[in-house]
Amino acid sequence: MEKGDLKNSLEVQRLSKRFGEHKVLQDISFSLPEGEVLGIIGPNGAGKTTLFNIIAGWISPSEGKVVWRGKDITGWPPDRRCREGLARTFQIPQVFPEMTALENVRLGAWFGQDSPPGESQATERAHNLLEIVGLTDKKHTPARELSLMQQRLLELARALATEPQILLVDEIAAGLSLKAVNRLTELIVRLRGQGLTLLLTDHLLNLVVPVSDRLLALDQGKIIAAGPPEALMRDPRVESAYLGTGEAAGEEG
Amino acid sequence: MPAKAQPPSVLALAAALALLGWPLLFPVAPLYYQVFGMACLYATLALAWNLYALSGALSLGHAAFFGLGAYGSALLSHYFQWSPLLTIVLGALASVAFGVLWGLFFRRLRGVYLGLASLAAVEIPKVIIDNWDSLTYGSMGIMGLERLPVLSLGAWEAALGLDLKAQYYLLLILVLAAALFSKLTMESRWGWALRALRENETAATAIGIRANRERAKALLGSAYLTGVCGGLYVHILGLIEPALVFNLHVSALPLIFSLFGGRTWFFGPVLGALILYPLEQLVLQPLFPMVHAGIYGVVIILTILFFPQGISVWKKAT
Repeated sequence: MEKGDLKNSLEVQRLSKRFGEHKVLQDISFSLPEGEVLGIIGPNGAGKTTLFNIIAGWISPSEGKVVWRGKDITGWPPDRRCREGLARTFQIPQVFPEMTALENVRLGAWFGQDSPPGESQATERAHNLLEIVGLTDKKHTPARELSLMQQRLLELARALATEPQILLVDEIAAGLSLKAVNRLTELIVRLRGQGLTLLLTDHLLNLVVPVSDRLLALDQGKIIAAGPPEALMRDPRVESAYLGTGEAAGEEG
Repeated sequence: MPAKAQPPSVLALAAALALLGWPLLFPVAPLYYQVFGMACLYATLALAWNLYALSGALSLGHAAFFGLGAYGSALLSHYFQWSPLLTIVLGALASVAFGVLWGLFFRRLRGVYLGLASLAAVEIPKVIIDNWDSLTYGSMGIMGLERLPVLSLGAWEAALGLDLKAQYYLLLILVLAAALFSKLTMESRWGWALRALRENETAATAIGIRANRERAKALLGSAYLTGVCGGLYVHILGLIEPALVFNLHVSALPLIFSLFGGRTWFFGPVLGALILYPLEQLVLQPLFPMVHAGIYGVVIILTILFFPQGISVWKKAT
């Protein structure tokens, strides 16, 4: 195993993924120190979601490793990753439709750790988190009756209820109005202020850019640029990847 | 509060008291003891089936567990002459063993694929037992199985095999115990894990629930209880043959009773069995001796169309 100089962090080492002949990810390496917010950006089809799913444990890589706090977790199933501190949310919210919002979040508190809290403690934590994400008035509403935005918030609260050390957030702004995105941005800034390590993906930039310490730009399965948001936004490679013109498009040719 | 409107537990308690009390009013009613006793057995079977269904898995193959429990008990009783009460408890381990194989091979199957695979799985033990003449007497089966024993405590005696009233009470206690277990399960942390798996397995996995482990526990518990029902059934009848226990009817009835009564209320499967089985046996059989079992087909269609959650939660559907 590689030495982990940043003990409390996530390291992705030389990750590749092929689906048949199609190379979705090629030789991806980066690390995420504790307390940092890393945004992964890139156009549709760049490989963001595949990378995300490999880190969360839903897809296994063709090559490479995922290292978490010095441990190689590449072979761990997603439920174990969650119990050990890596929680995730989904692009299409995955809720328990017949349960109330409170019950949804309580399950996160109840199952997200190897040494589970008691029922009343889990319920209390669920109340607090619903308050934080602003769903207190929907406490007793079945999750299926919530709007897309509310389901995203619910998922976020449920993931936080597992008490993660790192939260992986996939395309949380997709399909939402600008106003809703602004509300989410505020919430994420608040979580970041509490010292939570975050990994965000998005193909739209309104959310990821303002909250990230660092960005990683993916295109066609490769990292094309990495750095602080301001610098990256001016990078011509990123621009051309998004606009689909210029050299980046020509390279693959 | 649960999101769905469910009847309060006091209704289940009232039903239990009625079931305990009515024989006092009708001391001589052998047909009714027999039919309601069998209804209690089927209700237990439905609860067993529903335990696995709580995890979201709809089995069409519980006859495999029923038949293996029945044969496990019948063979132990036949070859060793042990008391049926002991062989029933031990014989059901054969169902658990099959449950382990089921869990391994069907681990990845969901929904209709699991249903079809489980339907086919019944044929495997059936064909083996049908052809292993030297051990099981093949398709001839075994006649004259030992009946349930006489329990005595001082002056009090209960001939579980011959006295239909005593037998009824045995089966009633069994179903009430199973219903209580089901209630406690559904309210426990494990019960919530099963519910989470049933509602959204992806979300359940994402919040740390061990999907395979929790579902396997439900499967094995379900297999064991189903095996016990199978053992009781053949020792009550006093005979066993493959076609009797590895029977589609055995797989279908618990499903029908559970869907009709309501799968998400702990007493739902019991309610279904206690309404439908006596209705079929006592009302429809005398009226339509040829087609009385057709009620089950009609009921399942009407349930799915009009009360998809079962009758115990029907108010919510409107």
